[in-house]
Amino acid sequence: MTVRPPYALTPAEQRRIERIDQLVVLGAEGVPELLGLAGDPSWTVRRAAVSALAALGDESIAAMCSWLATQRVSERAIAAVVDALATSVAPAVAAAAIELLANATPAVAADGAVILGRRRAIEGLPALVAALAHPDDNVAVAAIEALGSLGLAGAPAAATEPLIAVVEGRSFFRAFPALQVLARSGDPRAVKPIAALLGDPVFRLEAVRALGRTGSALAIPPLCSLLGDDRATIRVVATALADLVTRSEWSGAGTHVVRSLHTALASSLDALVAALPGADPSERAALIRVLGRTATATVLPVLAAALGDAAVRDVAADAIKALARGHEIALIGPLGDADPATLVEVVPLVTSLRDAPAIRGLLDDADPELRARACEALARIGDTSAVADLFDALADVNPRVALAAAGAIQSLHSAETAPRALAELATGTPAVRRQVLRIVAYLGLPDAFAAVRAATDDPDPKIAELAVAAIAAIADPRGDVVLATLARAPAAGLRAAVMRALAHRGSDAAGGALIAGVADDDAWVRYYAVQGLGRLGYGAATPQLLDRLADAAPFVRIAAIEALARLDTPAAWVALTSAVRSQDPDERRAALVGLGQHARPAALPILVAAARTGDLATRLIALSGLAVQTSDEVIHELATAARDVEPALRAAALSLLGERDEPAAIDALVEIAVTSELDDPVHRALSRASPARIAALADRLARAGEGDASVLAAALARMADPRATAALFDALAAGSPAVRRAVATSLAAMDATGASATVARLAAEDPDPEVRRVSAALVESD
Amino acid sequence: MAQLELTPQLFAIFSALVEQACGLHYDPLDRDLFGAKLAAHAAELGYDSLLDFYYRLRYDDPDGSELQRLAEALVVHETYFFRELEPLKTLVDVYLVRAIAERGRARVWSAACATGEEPLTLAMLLAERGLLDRVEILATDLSTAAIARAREGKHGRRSLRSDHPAELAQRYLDRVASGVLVTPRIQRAVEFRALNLLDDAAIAALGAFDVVLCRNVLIYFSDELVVRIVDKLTRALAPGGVIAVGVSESLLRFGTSLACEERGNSFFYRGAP
Repeated sequence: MTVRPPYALTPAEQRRIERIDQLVVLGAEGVPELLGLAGDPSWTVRRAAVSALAALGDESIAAMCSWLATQRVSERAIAAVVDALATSVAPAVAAAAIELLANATPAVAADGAVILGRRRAIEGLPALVAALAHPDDNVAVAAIEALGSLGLAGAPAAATEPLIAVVEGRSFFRAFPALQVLARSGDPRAVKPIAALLGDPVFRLEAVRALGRTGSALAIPPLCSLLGDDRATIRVVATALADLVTRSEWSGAGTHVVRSLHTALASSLDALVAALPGADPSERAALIRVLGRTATATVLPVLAAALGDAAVRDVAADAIKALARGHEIALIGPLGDADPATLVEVVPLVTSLRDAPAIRGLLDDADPELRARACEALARIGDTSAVADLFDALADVNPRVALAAAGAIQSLHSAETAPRALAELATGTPAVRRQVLRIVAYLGLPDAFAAVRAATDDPDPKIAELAVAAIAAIADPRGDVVLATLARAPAAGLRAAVMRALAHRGSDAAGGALIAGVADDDAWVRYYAVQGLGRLGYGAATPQLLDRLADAAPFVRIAAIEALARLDTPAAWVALTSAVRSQDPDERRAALVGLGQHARPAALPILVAAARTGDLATRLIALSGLAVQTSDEVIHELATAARDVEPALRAAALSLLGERDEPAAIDALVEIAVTSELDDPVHRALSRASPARIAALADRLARAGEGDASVLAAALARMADPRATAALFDALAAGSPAVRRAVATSLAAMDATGASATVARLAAEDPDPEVRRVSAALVESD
Repeated sequence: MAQLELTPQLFAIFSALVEQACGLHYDPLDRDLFGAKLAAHAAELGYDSLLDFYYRLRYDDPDGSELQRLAEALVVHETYFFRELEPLKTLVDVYLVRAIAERGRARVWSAACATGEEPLTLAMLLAERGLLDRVEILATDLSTAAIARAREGKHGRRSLRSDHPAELAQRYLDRVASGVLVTPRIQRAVEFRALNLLDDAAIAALGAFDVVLCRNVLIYFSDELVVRIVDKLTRALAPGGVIAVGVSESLLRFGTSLACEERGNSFFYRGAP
């Protein structure tokens, strides 16, 4: 295979890009030549020209608009100039684009619409609405698409009725894009005209998809009316319903929508199931999702069979979980003689005690993975009567099964555990005794002391080490003597286990033994000794810990950094600020963790710098460290990280921002939310319910406009919190028409108590005509 | 077991370590699955802190054996007999028949075979066509444990799914209480060997193949590594040989000189003649 060579500039391209850099410095004087380079055959050169023209701001607008209107020498040059205007730093572009939209040449007018849409220029709204009636289809379509870009939820309310008129006009080229834009708008007035297209074979399928995109419970009846049709239609409807559920979750209407679907689909379950064979993966996923949200246990075998389909496995698992959660049903029983491959996927989904007998039966299955998952399931469902069987499973030849059984016994609090554990300690095989020691270490069984003490002398090092951990967990003062003795054991592994145990036990005698361990010959003994001193906050060990910063073993040095961080002394601070410059990335990270544990202002610039560059783990650690600081700069850094190209960093930053209730944090989240897709994690971060968060969102909602009202209202609605719902009602008094529209839509979508009366009042009395019309649409469908 | 929770930071350092060692790529969306396997493995080794385990792997694993053991625990071994059967039939009926007609014999490499069900299925199809003795089948996998199990010829019950072809299964497989046994003739037809797809020298030593199977494996690697691996597989092709990937996979987006051919609703990637 010829590996594609890396994209490298030719010398000629490099020269043209350097010329572009020179032209930028010239300002307006360089614009004509830059416009020439906008049509360059090299994509890379064109991109540089676009960036340059955009960066010139006001200096280039007039020339670019004039060029678009009068020259238009090539398609790629046109595209480049449109890009430049769309991304220009100058706010005046919007006004210039409105003028372009009024140009007599349709192609120019269309470019104007595109620019307004890409800039989300709300000031272009009247011109774009007017352009819906343009005689040229391309201009009208560009205007439609631009309207759809003006807000997160699509077209502003003022565009709804003109767009409805386009849809009702049924122009082939205009109605389809108008359908899509209307559907995404979240405006309840959109549902009826879209549903009216279901009777038109030309628009039917697109109308189905559009109804799904509304995310509105109002769309459910017209969609479900098609479930008596052929299977292909049923699959499209299911896809739309799945989309509808997803979108309703964003608007806070999820519960209401699922309830409505449950009722609407009761007589159509068979049709949905029958549509599965032959469906493509996305359709299967949609069908399964809908069945899981709305069906009963009768569809369980169908969903379980889908677990064997890699393309839809995750969706099927979610559907089964939703079903089981909603109906408290047994999962294994209804499956009968299920394929072993199906069973192994279903068992982790079991959450009901009703499945206990069937799960216990699986402990003898020939498949070790099934046996292990059965152990885990028994713990999850709390079947304490299975403890005896689980003790038997400790002897399983498969270590995963034995470990799972031990973990399950630890989780299940049974009176049977202690006596059985003691018995197995006395007579069990080495493998069983290892697992039992884990159980004893977890539960700290006092009666087991003698047996555990004896096990510390076992020739099997694994048993001896596990016994040491168990000794530490037993609240018996003799344990201190045992550990002190074993701290001098010949085997390094045992001494290391003692150091770990001392840290967990935390007795008065631990400090001395741990300090002695810091000087051990074995690096891992030193590691756990150092770690233990840090965990116990043993300040007296600071000199020894400082010495370990120069240990030959890097992990001991790291443990020393971590331990000093916990002590939070001046000497520790010096050590951390030095270690943060280490050549070893793990040492640097350990230092950053330490710096992040205490809200010292002096740590802020170090953490900020680390959050901006370097490997992902370092940046994540730095972000977490910043989160404990209270400076305003922290919110700025988190907000910047929340827009990072790295998804894990974005998610971490959003999560950390989501935990803060300062107005600046909320503003940062809202700024991101209004330009993010509906499934972006920012929306979840925004809707964490707390009194301070609700108050902050309510305050912001009172001042909201067209661009952010729906985002804020949806955030409050998603909280499903009475205080948040009350805040929505309150916002009706203080807010703008955009706020009242958004709140009315949210309250109706949630089916909140009192919403009907409130929306009816708005429909009759609100001073704003758009508010009255939106509310009327909500009332009409109630 | 609070300390065996895989935080995003721990995921970042562990996944980087694993990817560097054996190429397995874990997306943040895979964090839960990765964390579950990692935690189980670390707990079995006696660690109550994933960070302790990380330092062991990073600083105290001179021969890489601990990292190798972790990689084996992480690698997904989901495979079963007759999985994606139609493309295998096409490989036999079109490509292997042709290669045998031209040269008398053919060679097949099942790269990343896990516990061997795929190459064994291929062997069954060849036996049906009377061609088993004319084809050399080599099957490799990163996991020595999986290769050991493949050599035993004993497979779990999940290796035979409910929709399997009954006649083939009846002829070449024996169902027992514990699972499925492969008939000796089929078992003998496949040579199993441990091999890391990142090991250039080992791959070069394998020679040239008429068919290379690499199905439902590339999804576990980063795009950059996929390009490198596909390059290695391509170099292992005999003139006009083909690479077969999983039905939901495609090599087209990686920029390859292989020619994509569609046969019977399946796609194959043919090397230069």
